[in-house]
Amino acid sequence: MITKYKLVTLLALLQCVIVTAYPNEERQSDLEEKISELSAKNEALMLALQEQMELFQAQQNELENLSKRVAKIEPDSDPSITHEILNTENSANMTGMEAFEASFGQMTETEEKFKPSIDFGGWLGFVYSDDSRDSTNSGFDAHPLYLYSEAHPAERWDVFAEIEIEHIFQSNSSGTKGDLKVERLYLQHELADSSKIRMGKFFLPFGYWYNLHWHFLTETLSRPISFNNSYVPKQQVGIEYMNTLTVNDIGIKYFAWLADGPDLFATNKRTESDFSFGAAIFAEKQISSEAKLGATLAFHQQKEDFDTQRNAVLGMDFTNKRLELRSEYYYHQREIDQDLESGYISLKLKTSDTFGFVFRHDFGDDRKTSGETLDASTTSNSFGFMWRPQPHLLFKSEFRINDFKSEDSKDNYNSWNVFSAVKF
Amino acid sequence: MYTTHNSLRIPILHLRLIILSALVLVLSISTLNAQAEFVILANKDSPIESIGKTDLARLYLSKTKKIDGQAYRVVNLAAEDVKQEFLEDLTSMSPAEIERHYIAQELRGEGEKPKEVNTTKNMIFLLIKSDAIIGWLPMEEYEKLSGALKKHMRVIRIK
Repeated sequence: MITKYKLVTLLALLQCVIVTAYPNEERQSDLEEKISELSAKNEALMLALQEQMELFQAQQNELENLSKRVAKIEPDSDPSITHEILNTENSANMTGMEAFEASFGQMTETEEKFKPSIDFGGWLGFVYSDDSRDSTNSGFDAHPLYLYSEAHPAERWDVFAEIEIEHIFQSNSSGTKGDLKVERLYLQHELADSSKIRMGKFFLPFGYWYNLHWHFLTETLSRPISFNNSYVPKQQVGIEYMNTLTVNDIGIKYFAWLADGPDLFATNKRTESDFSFGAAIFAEKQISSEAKLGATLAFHQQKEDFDTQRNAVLGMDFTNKRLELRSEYYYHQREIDQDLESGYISLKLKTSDTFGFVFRHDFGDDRKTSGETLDASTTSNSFGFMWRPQPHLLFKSEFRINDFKSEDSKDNYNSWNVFSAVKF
Repeated sequence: MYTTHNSLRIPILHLRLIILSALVLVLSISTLNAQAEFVILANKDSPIESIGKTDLARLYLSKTKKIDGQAYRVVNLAAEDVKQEFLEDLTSMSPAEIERHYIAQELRGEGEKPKEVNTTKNMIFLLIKSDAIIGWLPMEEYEKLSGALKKHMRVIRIK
């Protein structure tokens, strides 16, 4: 019985062992399969990771190349500088600020350090003109060509030189061609703050027109009587002082000059001249966000031969988004000759930012255009337009009605022109 | 029936397109007109605390260098769009008018265009280094700066 019992027990145990052993065998094979599966996956992932790492490295290299190229174009855009700024910004103490200043002191010094430089510029005009008085004057003319250079050899010192080449090409055979003139040549020193002093040949700032007389800036090709007759010399050789200041919201610019030198211009050939002096003041007040009002007063005295000439001009200027209104009155006192007076009023109606219609009325004593036989007293009216498609490109045209007379005759004639200029 | 149905749908589609286009146009115009705000800045030790808009415009148009007896140099950010917007807002002049003004100054041999810097940080460097410099930043750029940097600059009030 005992043996039978033991046998039964043994068989039961054996069954138990078999039952428990068989599933283990099953799990082990499953695990082996899973391990091999996971190993394969792991290998695939490792390969993918390697590929991604290679891609990342390639992108990193590309980024570095791009950074180097950006640094070449804009040296100040070093990412480390930005990083340092951010670090500094995060530190709210003076030590951080000092470190910031120290790290960029060199760059700021470079920013502020003076570097000698030289700039070049100029502009060229083309004109076609005709008048009913003298048909020989009509035709195309490449005139004028201005070339200028401004050099900055030392801090606060400038040298300005400008030449004018007249009538480069004329379809009309009469008249001089290719004359070269030194228009301006001066040394300029910037005194403390806002004042400057010039020595050499310079333009006289005798009122608005003398101060902006370039065809590239003026609204008409024809010029006011005083300027056209050179009753006051356009330029002189001497010394000029200029300054700007603001008083009660009025911007003021003033000039004073001591000069000499002949000014060959128009019919009044100044072959000899003595010491001259003058002063001019320009004031400007912004009367609204889009409108400003200006005024000018200038005086000039010069002795030419035995004639002491005293000249004065009073002008006003109003500008807003639609209008530009300017007027000047000139009085030229002559000691041994008849006094002369002239003036103009000009109006520009701006239809857009680039286009405007212009009108100018001139009156006064025009000795140059009246000639020998006619009374110098005249009036003329100009109508035209001005178009600036670009700030450096100008087209303008004008029709002018002139009215001269004498005791027994009169000469009313018209003239017109088309002008284009390009600044470079 | 189809013809009638389509002929009704097409105008409706067109109407929707027109309304949509109009909306897009209105939105784009609104975006164009949305002006950025600017902060006028100087060094913390600068004597200037406020400035009239006209005076500031005169400085930026190189018509003067002095305000209340003190000389200043003004600096622009070089980024063309932002600079134009700032100058247009300040001077009430169009970009073309401003350029023509500088050309006239150049021909007369008077004044120079204000100095320009390429980046915000260069503007900050100059402002921190010199109490004679006046500059500006777009408001959003200024607001990004930390208190530490702002402490070294002064916001100039426009009178």
